[in-house]
Amino acid sequence: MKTKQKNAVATVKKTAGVKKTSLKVYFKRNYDMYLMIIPGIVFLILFRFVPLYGMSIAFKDYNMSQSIADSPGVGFKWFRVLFENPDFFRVMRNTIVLNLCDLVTCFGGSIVFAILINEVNNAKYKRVVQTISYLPHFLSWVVVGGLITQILNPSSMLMLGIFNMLGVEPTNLLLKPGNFYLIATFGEAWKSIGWGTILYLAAMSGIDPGLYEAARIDGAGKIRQIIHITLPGIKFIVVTQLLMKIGQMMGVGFEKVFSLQNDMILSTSEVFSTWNYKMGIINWNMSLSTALSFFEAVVNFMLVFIFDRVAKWLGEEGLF
Amino acid sequence: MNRKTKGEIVFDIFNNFLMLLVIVVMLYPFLNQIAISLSDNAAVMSGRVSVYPVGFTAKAYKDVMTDARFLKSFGNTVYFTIICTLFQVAFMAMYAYPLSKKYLKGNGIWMGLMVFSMMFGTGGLIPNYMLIKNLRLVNTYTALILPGAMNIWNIIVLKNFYRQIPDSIEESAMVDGANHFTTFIRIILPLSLPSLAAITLFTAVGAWNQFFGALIYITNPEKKLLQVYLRDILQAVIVPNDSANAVNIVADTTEQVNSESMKAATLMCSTIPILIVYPFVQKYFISGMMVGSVKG
Repeated sequence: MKTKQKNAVATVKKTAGVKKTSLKVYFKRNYDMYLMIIPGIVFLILFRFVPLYGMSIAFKDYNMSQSIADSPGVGFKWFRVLFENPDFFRVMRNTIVLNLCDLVTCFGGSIVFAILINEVNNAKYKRVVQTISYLPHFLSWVVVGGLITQILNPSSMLMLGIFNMLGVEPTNLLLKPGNFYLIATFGEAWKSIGWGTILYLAAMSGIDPGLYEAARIDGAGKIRQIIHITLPGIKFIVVTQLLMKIGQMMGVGFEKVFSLQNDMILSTSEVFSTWNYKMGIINWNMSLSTALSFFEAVVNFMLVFIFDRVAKWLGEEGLF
Repeated sequence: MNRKTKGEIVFDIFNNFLMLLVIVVMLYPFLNQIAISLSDNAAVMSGRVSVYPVGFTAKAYKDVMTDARFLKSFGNTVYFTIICTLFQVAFMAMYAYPLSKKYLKGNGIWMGLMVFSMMFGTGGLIPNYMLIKNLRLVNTYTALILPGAMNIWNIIVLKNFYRQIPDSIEESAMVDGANHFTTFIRIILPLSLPSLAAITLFTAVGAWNQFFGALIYITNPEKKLLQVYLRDILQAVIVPNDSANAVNIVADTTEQVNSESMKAATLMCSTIPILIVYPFVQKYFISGMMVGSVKG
């Protein structure tokens, strides 16, 4: 297309017999393209870059009554306040632990689940399993959180059964801080493991069935077929997905934690996003909240940067 | 096919059984909630309801369906989902088209800025709130629609899809005297229907499930969206002494029917649109996921 365009421009030039009008002709030909792109550029600047400028209030004493530019600069004051807050490291611990749990269960779980789905022989049954396991991905966290809360209700049949079996007094598991990691991780797994299999299943369908046949003739069992044929076949996607997951480490979804959280278990359930919400929107501590956002953005950027380096080191296409 | 070995038979039985277990774990919460929503108060409270209703009654649904606040937020959400999806998809489809043309001057800059903004995130909670406030968009659905239209991931997916359309198709339209805009509307959009369908569906689900933005920007109860309403209802009993507001909800909605059935019925009513549509559009979701994974 590029050469074609150049040719067209050259032809116009030649026939019209004018010089130095190529830019003019270019705009005449493409002005509507620029009209189409302008709204996008405006949105990009307005909704992506203006808030980035707004982040400068992390270094200022800001309140609603004055503009960002007029607010007095205070250097790293808010960062000191943030890091000296005794809650900070607890919230950071929760964020990291929840992320690592998700990484192990959801990332690992999706691979295992994809392998198992792939081994189901009956096509109809396979279809049913896939359809049902993809479904929770489309529910909101409010709904999933609601389902979990309802199931864990001590008077629900499931919980009563379990408590009776164990012979202990029924309690609400969601009100005990020690259970939160487990419950949140299970919820995340329930919601996303099925959907996470899609890319792996696609990669597996591209593996030559002859390989399995040959392995069987050589006497390899199912497990060895999986280790030596299926896993190498999806290695590429596993690596890219893993790196992508690591690149998103800082962002424990607000909605997941918020819909499972309650005041009794803040010690284990508060993460950066929910903490920030309470700091900023509930208490209107704007500069402090933005300092936290800034810290998150910096860590996130470093993770993405490392992700890019590692991806390139492994011989894959990087981000930049 | 040669006969299966013993080990393979054992594996198959084990695997099929495991898949059955997965299906049970996936479906149990739904079936349990449907059963609770259709059961009678005493049975629910004594924990006798599993996956079939005990003491069948549809009263909870009747109450939900006649609850003015539920109907209001449901209607709001239907309206919001339609407007939001139409605008965002049209916006992204149009923006991605010039971006897909490599010869267009300035594209390198725009793409660079987009990747840059992807790396630095969206700029934090308060700066975004300040922006929406300064634009006087607090308590409007526009506050939820406009920022979401700049979904860089979807835009890159669409851009890559447009690139796969052969140049010759556009060129023939241009030779016939069409300008870029006409070509885009008449030729490119119809050819892009599969990926547009996928993006439309993802956008619509996202709009239906919209929670965080609605929580922050929409404080007017008249404009409350369904997910926020649902959270109010679900939250109402978990911490009964949480706030005056929560107690009110309990008092209002649980005069006769027990609140567990009521909560379950509200939960199901706000999920049913997705449950109904899902089986029919599943293949578009999956194809959309595939398009998105192709890097380019």
